[in-house]
Amino acid sequence: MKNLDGYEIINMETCTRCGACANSCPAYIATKDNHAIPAWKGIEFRRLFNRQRGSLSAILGQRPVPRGWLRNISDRGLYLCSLCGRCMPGCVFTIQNLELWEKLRSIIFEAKEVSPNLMRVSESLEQKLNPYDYDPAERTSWVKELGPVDVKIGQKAETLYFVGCTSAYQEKKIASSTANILNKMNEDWSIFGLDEWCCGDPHIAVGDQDKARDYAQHNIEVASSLGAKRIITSCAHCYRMWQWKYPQLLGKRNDIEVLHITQYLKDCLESDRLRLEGVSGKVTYHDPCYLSRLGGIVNEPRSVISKAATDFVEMKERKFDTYCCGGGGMTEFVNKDLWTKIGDERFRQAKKTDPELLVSACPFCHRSLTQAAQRSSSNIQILDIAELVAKQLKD
Amino acid sequence: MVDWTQLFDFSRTALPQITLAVFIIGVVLRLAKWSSFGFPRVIRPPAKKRRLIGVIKNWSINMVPPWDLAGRVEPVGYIVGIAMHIACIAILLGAIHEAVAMRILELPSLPPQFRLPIIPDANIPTAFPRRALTYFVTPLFLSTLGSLILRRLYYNLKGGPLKALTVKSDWIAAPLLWASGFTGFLAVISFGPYTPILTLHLILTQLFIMYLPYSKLIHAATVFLVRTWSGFRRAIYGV
Repeated sequence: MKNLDGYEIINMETCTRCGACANSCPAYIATKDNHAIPAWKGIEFRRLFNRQRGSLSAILGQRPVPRGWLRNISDRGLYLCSLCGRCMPGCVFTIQNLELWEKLRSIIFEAKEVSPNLMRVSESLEQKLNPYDYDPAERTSWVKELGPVDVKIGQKAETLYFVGCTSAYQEKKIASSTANILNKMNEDWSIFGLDEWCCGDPHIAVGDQDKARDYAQHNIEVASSLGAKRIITSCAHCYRMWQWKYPQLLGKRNDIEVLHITQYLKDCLESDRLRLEGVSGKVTYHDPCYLSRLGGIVNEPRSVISKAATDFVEMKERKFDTYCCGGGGMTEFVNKDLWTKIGDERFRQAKKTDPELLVSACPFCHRSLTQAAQRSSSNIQILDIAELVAKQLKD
Repeated sequence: MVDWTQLFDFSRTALPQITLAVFIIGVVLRLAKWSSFGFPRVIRPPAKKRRLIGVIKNWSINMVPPWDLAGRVEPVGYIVGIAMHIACIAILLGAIHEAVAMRILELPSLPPQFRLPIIPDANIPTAFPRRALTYFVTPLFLSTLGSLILRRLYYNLKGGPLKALTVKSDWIAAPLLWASGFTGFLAVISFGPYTPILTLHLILTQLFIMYLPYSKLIHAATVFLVRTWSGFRRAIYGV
């Protein structure tokens, strides 16, 4: 409990267990498991808290928490959650739940009661600096495989493209598309290369805040050593880490400007440095949770898409209220069934707009929605916004 | 046999002092607990929008469906909850009782508009129109709070989401508040023996006040902090 602060305690103690959060929680909607309800985690957290720092403990002293309580939290409901943060607007009081769930995960991590699947992610990060157990030497393989050929790797540059593990190892087309765009813009840019470590978001999901801090420190040091004035990333998770979590973890504001690719593209389009061919057919956009609700970027992707698409339709659950794709919280690894169900539900919502093209701005979302489209044998094309722009670049 | 006159005097004289002491101790313990954890400065990038605008929006349009997600996904429950809270606040503001308020607040007398009659049918004005308060607001409060209690009971029996979210203290807070409101209503409409009903009302209300800082009812105060902070956050993030 030592890492809790007064804001978090007050947020936690405001919960009245009304159950309103259930109806907006993608994990509960997918499973109808009562332990997925955000308030259930709140109840368990308060039990732990009261045991150690409640009013009775002020008189009787801290009492040890039975291991069974921790195991109960870990086994039953803690990981029925993609850390999407939808429980915040879904709460009638707008309790800031997400930080509480991250702290609860760190308590469970310190008590060594983490889900075995998630521990494998932690081990992979420890040994290979990425959560997917890929060879770290393969982090830049997308350059050789997909190009462009003239990507600077680990060289000094004003702009550094932080590729991120998911784009580097799995959704390589996103990395390649972003690189093509930066080349088209004649930017002085480079990638980190093999010195790029995971942004640390999986560490937050595991509950290892100390490691997240170490990784943040490393990445910032590498960026500084390469003389970067700004970081561009095409991953919503990496963006959130760099922009919002690194200052908290390291206790100081970033010296380096951090941009998501959509912000960069919007600037380029508005200054006419970039022009796009139109795309035919109906286009819809899925707001990644980590970009919109947890990142603060909602208008920039729409500005970019509207330059290419003449028929853009919005989904019902969008912007701050966006619905999760299932990709956050390393859910694919902890509970693949949950990841599948949440992804299917989001894809079903997208289908309601009857689009030909579904655009997102995060490799996790791209991966989840692509798989959902395949499962439903849909003809809807799924593209990341970097892929869309790279495809539609006008000479 | 219960001596209602003695109990009535106790509920107007000694009990309010006990209530005040227990309440203040509860508040002090809570504040001490919160402050023991500290309120560190959160390091973030500069705010994208003015924080005050975020707070104002969070306390206005963001509370109204469809802008409010909680209200949009369960509109009936949301409207019932909002109606219950508004009615509760209206009753508290419009019916501060002379006996309890004078003792607790140590005021020689309250302005007439805040007094309700100790003797039935006395023609003392209230802060809100008496008829509206008695015959509309109070039944609204009792019916909405009653339906929220029944909702929890229903899901506990049937096995819905609230079954996993109910702890023992949930069967104290809301029923205590409901009983307090109900006995007050009976006293004002002079239903049944007046002194016993009013005595029950005074005791139940004061038990509720004593219980408040030790329970989830503390949300009555913390909601102002939490919703304001989330308004700040939305402004900082620019959403």
